[in-house]
Amino acid sequence: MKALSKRGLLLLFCLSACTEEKAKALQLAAETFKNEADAACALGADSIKASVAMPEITRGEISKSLAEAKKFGANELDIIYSYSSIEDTGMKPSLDTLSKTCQAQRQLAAIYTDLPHGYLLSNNDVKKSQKYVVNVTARFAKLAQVFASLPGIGRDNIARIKIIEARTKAMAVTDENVRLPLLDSVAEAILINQTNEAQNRAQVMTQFAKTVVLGEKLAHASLEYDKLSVTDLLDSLREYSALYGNITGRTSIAENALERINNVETRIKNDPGLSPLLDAELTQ
Amino acid sequence: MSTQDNDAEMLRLMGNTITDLQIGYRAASLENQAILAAPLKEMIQDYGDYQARLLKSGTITGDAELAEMNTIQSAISDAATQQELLVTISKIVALIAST
Repeated sequence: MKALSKRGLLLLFCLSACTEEKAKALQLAAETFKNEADAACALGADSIKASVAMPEITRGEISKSLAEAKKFGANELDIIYSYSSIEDTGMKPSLDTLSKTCQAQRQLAAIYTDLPHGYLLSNNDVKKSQKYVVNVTARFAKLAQVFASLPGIGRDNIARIKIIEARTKAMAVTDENVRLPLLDSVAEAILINQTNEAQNRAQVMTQFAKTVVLGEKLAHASLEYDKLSVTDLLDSLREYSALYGNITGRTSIAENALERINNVETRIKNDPGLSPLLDAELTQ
Repeated sequence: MSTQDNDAEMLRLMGNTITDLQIGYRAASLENQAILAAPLKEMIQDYGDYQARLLKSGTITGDAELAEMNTIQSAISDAATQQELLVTISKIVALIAST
């Protein structure tokens, strides 16, 4: 009887420890999802700002304004000081909308925060989170698709303004021997910016793809939590890490990233376990 | 063109118009910048609103709006005067408000 109790206790200890390990593995996945989503949201916000940003006003430009101004008083000084606020206030609506959508990912991570401590109740908590994680992932995929359709994502407005102004300046030079090399520099700047903008866009979309792919893994892990062993869960995370390397490596092109996002959305919609958990508006 | 393509094209044209107007603003005297600052801010805000509406829920641009935006964009000349810039801004603001 004593021996049996001892064995029972050992078994109970192992079960508890294993459950705690499992909860920790799931929490790690949720935390990684939150970090990836935060990174995607930050890149998205930076990209929205960069699409309308103006070059900073230079000392030379201020001197020129001072020389040309018919009157220079407190109002004119204010105009110079308010130069940088022009695009800041303007982009608030897009940034607020993005921020609201991103807030949901943080709430998702918070759901899992207490799992390892309350592991005896964890299965119940995990069940509650299933619907949430599926919908957050599907919504994030939708957000990523809209982002992919925005032509301003990746756009470097400061570089564009500088290119157009440099061309105008070059064309004002009458000596062809001076003008042509200037135009050649502008041509080089155009090509460099084209590559930079494509890379910026790819970086944003790749980050969205990483988040959506991980969201799908988390959704499956939550759904099959009862059946999965700690090893299964950790394997699933390792699989994600391998995929993660893949996305950041050779497939880091915006179009490929979007394809991955679309594939996740389709798989969720067609998955017999995940699709019934989707909110109605996400099933279309 | 699909409505989604229309939205992308509309935003592309709006973005290009903002860039052209910003260049006009940067080249303007302080006196003219004082007049142009508020409408330029409004224009960027409308672009932001438009983008936010898309981020919230899908597609909004019809063929007629897109055609009108094309006309406004192509009317911006290299040497736009302050008056021309103001007219352009007010046309775009009115167009976005109507969509």
